[in-house]
Amino acid sequence: MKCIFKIEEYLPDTNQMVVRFARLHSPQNIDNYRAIAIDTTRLDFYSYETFVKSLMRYYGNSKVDVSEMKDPIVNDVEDINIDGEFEVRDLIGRSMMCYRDSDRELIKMKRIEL
Amino acid sequence: MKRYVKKCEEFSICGALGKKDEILSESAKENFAQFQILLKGSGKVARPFESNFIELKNREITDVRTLIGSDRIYKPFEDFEIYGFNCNGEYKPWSARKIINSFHGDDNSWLICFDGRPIINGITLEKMNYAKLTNKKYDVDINDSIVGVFTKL
Repeated sequence: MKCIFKIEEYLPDTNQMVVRFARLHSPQNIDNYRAIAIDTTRLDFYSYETFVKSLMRYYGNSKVDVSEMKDPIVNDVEDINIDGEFEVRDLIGRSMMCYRDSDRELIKMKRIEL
Repeated sequence: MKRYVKKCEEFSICGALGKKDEILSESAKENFAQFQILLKGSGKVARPFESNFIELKNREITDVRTLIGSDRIYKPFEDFEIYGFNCNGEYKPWSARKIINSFHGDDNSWLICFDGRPIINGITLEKMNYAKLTNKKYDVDINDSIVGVFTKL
């Protein structure tokens, strides 16, 4: 996932920085995401690359994950009734909620009545 | 190694299919299996760096509830096919038993056919068929299948 950050303030005397984080494809401007004050002593100032990596590892990743949960849902989304008989045509033209695919395959279990 | 998962109404089944030289490790946050069902192979499971272990026997249902909340390492001795029974949501203990004969069901139980084609109440089940049980007798012709009944405690 590509992310963005925006440093609002850098306070080297107190080892602090005020930063905003968002996903690159967030539905909102990054200025709408809450700025947080972070401790810069955990960051790696050796290069741009190490700086960004440490910034995201210690602060950005978790903020982006949380913001994804809080972002407004802009689509009118429906849940799939997984218990029903599968008919692909029933899905045409509808925005269905789903999860990103994991590396795990689905076990093809079938409920029966005894 | 291939990994599998399926969320059902009140429980989830996870699974793995792998070779004997593949070791499976999962953190306490990932693995909530209360029972392991080993269809193929044999092996053992333990907490990392502990000498105590639980033996996983071929074609048996093994209680691993003592490992809930712990990281786990699975060491197979042969190529393996293993499944795990998990409750959905917050941990709540279930019981499990392997079915070999006819039995009486109840409303808190689910039956899962992990392997084979048993005949239960006149219906031939396939691998990974499952059913909610009720308070009645179930006539079983097990046909060397692996069938488990899991009950909410």
